[in-house]
Amino acid sequence: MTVILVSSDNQDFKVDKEVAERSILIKNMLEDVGESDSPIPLPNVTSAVLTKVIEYCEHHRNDPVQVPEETDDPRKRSNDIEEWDMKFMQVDQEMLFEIILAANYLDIKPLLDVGCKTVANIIKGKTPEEIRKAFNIVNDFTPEEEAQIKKENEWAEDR
Amino acid sequence: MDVNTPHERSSTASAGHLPTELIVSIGHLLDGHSLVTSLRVCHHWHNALIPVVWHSITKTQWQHPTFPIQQPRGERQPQSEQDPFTGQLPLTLFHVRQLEWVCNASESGDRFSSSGNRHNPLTTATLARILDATPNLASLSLQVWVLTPDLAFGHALQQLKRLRRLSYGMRAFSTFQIEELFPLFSRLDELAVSSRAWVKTRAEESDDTGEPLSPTTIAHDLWKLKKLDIVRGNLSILRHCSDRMLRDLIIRREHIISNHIDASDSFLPILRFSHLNSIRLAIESSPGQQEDVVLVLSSLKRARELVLDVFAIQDLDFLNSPPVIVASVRQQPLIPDQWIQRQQQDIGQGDTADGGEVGDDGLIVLPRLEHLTINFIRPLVVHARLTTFRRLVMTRPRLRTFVVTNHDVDPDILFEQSRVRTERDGWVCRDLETLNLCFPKGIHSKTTDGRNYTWQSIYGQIGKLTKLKSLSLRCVGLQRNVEAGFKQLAGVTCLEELTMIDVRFLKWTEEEVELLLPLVPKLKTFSMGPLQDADFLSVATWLVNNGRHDVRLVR
Repeated sequence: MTVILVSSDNQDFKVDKEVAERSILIKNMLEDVGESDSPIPLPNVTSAVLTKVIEYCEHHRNDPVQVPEETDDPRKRSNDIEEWDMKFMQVDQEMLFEIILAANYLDIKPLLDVGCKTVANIIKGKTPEEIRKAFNIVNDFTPEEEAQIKKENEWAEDR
Repeated sequence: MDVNTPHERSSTASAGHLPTELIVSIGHLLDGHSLVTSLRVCHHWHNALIPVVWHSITKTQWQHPTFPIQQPRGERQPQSEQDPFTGQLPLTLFHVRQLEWVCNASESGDRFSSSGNRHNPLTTATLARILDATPNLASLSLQVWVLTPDLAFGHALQQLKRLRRLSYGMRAFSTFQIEELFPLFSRLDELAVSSRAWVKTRAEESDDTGEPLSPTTIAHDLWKLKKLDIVRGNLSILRHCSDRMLRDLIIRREHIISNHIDASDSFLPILRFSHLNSIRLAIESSPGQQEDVVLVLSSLKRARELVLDVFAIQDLDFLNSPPVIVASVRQQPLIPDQWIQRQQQDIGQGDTADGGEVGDDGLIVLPRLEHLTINFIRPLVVHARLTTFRRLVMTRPRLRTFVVTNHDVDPDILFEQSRVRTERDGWVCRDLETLNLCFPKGIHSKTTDGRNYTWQSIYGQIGKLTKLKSLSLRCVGLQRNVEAGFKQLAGVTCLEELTMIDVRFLKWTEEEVELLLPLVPKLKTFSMGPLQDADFLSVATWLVNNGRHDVRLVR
């Protein structure tokens, strides 16, 4: 069985139901609607991003469904990314954030995780200025404020 | 179909405009240094990440000199014993979900000693104020070596409505009755009580009519604990646990071995918990206890993980034997009839209830065992009966962890057949992911052609474990050269952690390191035991020279 997804720029994507249901948002919608072949509009996702997201879901179509984490243990900070996922995430930064936002909106937890891990790996080892430069963020702190934040949170570096 | 957009979106996505919840998700993936650095990027990131900074407070953070809550120091005594910390508590405590706090100093005399200062030893009164300010706490780990904790402390503990995990190391539950904390315990998923703190109060000793409670009496209102971690002497806690909920049970040895073990310390109450996934037990020397352990473990058909603390290797023989038959359970006076009935039903049904195949596995104790750790309480030098280990690796194909600590394993027996190069002769547990062994000294070459057949069979067998992620070998006179068949390790391409400790401090040569590195492309941690500074540096240099900057070297 296939479903039709419609991107924000009105392109139709015909995908297997199994693949589309990697998105919990779509899965729930399909369950609510029942048997229906009406297309599903995704006004938050452009065709370029949707192409990427479908590529991810196709590749991971047979993965076991993730059980929701019972505990949010920050010790489990493993930033390991599978090889295929790593290559998949080698996109320009705008696309990286578009994918993260789409994964969040479509509720595709494993894709969201990979996206966040990719960003975390970019941040690691950089200074605040380097992070701003990497992500094109404007500094809205005074140097004094920045120094104060550093001092106040020094204890938190040990963890 | 209504698909309204949950987020406002800017025309181009960028990290500066990510929704708060996503910055939080990223923040949880950062190490402490990167997290604090990220706070300084911009206001939006700062506000999103402050709750991440405060999410989890570890004991090293409490002890950091800049941590915002510091017990008053120096000569000055606190104004009031009830509330010695008079400062303002940070409002950010509201974000704390996990809290870990250790006080090594006692609250009385040495609180203001220099060592006390270093540990930032909060009083239980201060702790009570902190707990009042952390209503969202989900996980709490405390070690308080105070005989008389402040009354407010017990009260504050009871108020933690969202607490799910509690690790409570305390000298005694002295100033408040243990029953006062039962409503708290009934909400928990995990409870760890270390030290023999479970004071036997009236409700724990006798029933409503004043009759003494048998160790197998079950409480009226069962808690929903999934994991329980206790020491011997606290086994009466089991009466409050639901056998349908409890999955992990850890019973640690007490540090002092008592000669007399009373009936309340019997392992038999564990028989009720046939759904356990994981169990840790100590087999002490007294014969009656060994029977209990075997009886209990024979009933755990679903358990996948076993940790045993043992004195003697013959205590492990039961792992290679058929389960103890139910008839012997009936002879135990402590076991109520309904348990025996259920045991018989379970055996009748087999394991098909949860969809798993049974096969011939039903013929051994713990048929589902995947993770086996055997800790010897005292190091042993006797090598009798070492076929026990051999039989384990030859009969348990499901094993994924095989760890033996504090006991030498005779490699000539354990790796006996692997020198015969046929597929059939190797270990059956080919999916091993973790292997940890010690060898006795004096594994020599006994042949004239210069090859060491013992090491060849060791490396030959280990090299067949293609899923191995962690390998630890300890030995006097570890051989790692071509003659010893070191290259046969080549199959362990998934290996991430390697520990090879030569107790004689034999240093690695450059050739050996260069022989090893291509065999283990995924290596992340490499531990070599105690080495001289110079030797350590040279290995570090060789790693870098071979382009392996990613490998962490541990002494």
